[in-house]
Amino acid sequence: MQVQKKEYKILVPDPGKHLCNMKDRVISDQVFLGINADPSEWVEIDEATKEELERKWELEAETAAMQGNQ
Amino acid sequence: MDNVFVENAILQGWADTIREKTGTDEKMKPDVLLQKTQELGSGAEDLFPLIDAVTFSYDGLKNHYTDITLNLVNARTIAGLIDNKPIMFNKLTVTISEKCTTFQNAFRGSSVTDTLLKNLKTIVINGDTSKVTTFINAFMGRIDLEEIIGELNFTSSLTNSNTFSNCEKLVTVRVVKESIRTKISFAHCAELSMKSADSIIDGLAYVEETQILSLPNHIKLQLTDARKAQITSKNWTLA
Repeated sequence: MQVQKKEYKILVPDPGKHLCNMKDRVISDQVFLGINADPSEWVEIDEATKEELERKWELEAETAAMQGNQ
Repeated sequence: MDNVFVENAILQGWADTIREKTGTDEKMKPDVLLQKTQELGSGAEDLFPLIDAVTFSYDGLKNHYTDITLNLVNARTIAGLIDNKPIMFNKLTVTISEKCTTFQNAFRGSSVTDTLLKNLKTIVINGDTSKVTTFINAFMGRIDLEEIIGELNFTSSLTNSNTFSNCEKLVTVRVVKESIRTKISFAHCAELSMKSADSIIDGLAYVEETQILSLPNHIKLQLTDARKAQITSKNWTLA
């Protein structure tokens, strides 16, 4: 029999905010950090910025995809 | 002379093979492809690498083909196979081998709300994807896709960007254990089953540089603390 300790760190944004990783283009409302993850890679953004970034990233992804098969 | 419709991906594969055999990188028109093929003579046996066999299943009541099966065991790439193409089939079965190294845009749908695109519900992948180096946009935009049958092996994949973007109805997907080594997102998969999520989590390899796994909210709410700790202990951030 063994005792295992399970821990993880959670990033929780302030009310009305979202968490954003600009480098990896990920937005989330709650982030569970990997054991060697750097919390400073995540910043808080508001709803308007979230929508703007999602639109921008989706458009860029579609454009890149259309060009990808040439 | 009869006119035939040939998919761009087939011509691309044909030309790539000729370039590989001749050691050149020149662009070629179809008549040149034929000329080069004849010049290669006995070395031309694998100049049609993309499709070895195609079978269709026909639904007499609906009066259209419902399933299509493609034998692509000699294909080195299935990039753009049905990329942005309207698909009237409900089910697509593709057989590949370890020769295949790219799935880029292979089954990508489109953001255009064309009803012709809203039919493909099942993709069956038979064969080994362990040598595939990119899954970028592979199933992106297949908004009616419900199930991917076959275990996806991401071992060699250097990029999983947008692989499952906008796969809003995806329920079933299976992943080879500990094969995922780079960022991957299922955030858009609002119908993803818990069984699929378990396969994805078990599919995470330990990574030296932190990677991000994105899961839909309904899955994250169901994960136990132990399961979350399992993800983070492999140096994956769960978002």
